[in-house]
Amino acid sequence: MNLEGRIGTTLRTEAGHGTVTPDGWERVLERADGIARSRRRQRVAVVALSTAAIVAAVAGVWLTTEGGGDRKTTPIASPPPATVEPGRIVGIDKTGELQVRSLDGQVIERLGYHAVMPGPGNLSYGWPRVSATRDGETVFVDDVSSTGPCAGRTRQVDRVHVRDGSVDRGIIEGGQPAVSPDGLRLAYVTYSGTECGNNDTLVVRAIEGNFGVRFRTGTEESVFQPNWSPDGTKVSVLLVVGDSERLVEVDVTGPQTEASFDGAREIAIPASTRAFGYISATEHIGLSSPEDSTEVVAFDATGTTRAIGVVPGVADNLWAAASPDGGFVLVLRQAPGGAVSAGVEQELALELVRTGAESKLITGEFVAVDWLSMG
Amino acid sequence: MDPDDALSAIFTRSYPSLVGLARLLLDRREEAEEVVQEAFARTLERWRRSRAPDDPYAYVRRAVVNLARSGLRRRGTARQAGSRLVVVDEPATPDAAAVGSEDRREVIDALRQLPQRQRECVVLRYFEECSTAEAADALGISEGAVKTHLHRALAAMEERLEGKR
Repeated sequence: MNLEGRIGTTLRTEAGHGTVTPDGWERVLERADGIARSRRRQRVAVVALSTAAIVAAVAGVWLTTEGGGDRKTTPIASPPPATVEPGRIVGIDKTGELQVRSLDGQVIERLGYHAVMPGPGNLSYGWPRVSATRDGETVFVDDVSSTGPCAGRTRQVDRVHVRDGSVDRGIIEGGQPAVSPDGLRLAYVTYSGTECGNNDTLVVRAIEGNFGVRFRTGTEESVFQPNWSPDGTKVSVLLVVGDSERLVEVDVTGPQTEASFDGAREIAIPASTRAFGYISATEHIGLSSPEDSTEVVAFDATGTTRAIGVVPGVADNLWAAASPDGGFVLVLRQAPGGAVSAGVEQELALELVRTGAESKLITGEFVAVDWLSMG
Repeated sequence: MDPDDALSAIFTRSYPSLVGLARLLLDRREEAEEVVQEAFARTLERWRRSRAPDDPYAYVRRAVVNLARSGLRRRGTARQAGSRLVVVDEPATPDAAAVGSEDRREVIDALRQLPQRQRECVVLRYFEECSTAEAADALGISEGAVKTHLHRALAAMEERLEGKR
């Protein structure tokens, strides 16, 4: 049998294993109803917020998200100009290069390669992460190895000094780094068991020194995407148990210790929404792509949503990052149908979203982004 | 046509094979059904609200591929670390008997090592038996890109499989 025959036979045999749920269609109906309810809520909220944004703009203030469900309008000292917002972002582009860009997409600095992309068309491999300190001086980035027995899985964290481009490689063994708002601590995930195993441990530790706390999951659970609350007292993380996903929040102000997630606070993720970190002390960013557009929402611990904006294209589970002041959100989305460059399909786009305003496309293709500075 | 009735008929006819497709893309068996149900739910909600997709089955299949890819992206390292797609010995079927379990294990291992897009192309072509145009539609890429991915994927798989001989 030739190769294609072997592949076809193997795939048909392997895919056929197991049984399917008898009440599957009923579950489809429930899900569809949930999507419709969520859509109606968000549409109402978008209309309300758009109106509020116009009123706020006339009054010379920007909407921010402080205050959770009871929104407040808070003046920002230096309102951004009309065309190009201030600030810089840092991202890992599709080739694996760490770049600093302005919000109009201009490359300001190139900071070298860290997250190795093992091959063309392999953008999904490893999904590195980047996290910047609020002073814009330091960037922590996944360094994903492409060699060794755990190629693509072995991660360490590199520290990059933006000012001179120098790099401290491998300051921590682990991945998906998130630096605290005060720039003194890192949250990251790692595994405690066999080499190349699932991430089963969230570690929060001082960058300098050993103080820290390790939260360990059960044997069948994994953790992903740690994010700091703006006040630096809590870390949220996705806890994946079998086929279900929970967003939990842990207090990281306690003493150095080993802990489980048993006492973690559960955050309700709205139906058909993916969660991505905090946008304020009480709210998280959510992305929902029910069809050809992506709704950006903020949601609180009860799962109550309020609309922030809509971006074109699908953004299921890609990435979103709120600005430190909560006034903007960066959303990575898919942009299918693009040209092919260096053997890699251009399928990623980055949108800047401001509450109640139209999103703006930022030039460049990234697999991970964070805010470097607002000024 | 009533969207619920129309899609329910497609569900009855296609659910097992779409779950199979999702299993091959996801590695994790337990997630496959959830992905397919979500794909049907999104299609149904859209259909109820606006109009029927031109090809409802193709629309659902595209949603399955996108959702599976999204699930992999979200899980990051766990995707490689937690691969659950394993060859299981079970009663031989004529198809399975033609390729032994050890041989299937090697093929699955080789498939798992492919970049995601190449893997999607292989699964759509050789499991779903899609034409190049159908695979391109499901993936939202050009037919030329599908051919390129397939060519590279087969070359890589052949090299890996030959290396085990």
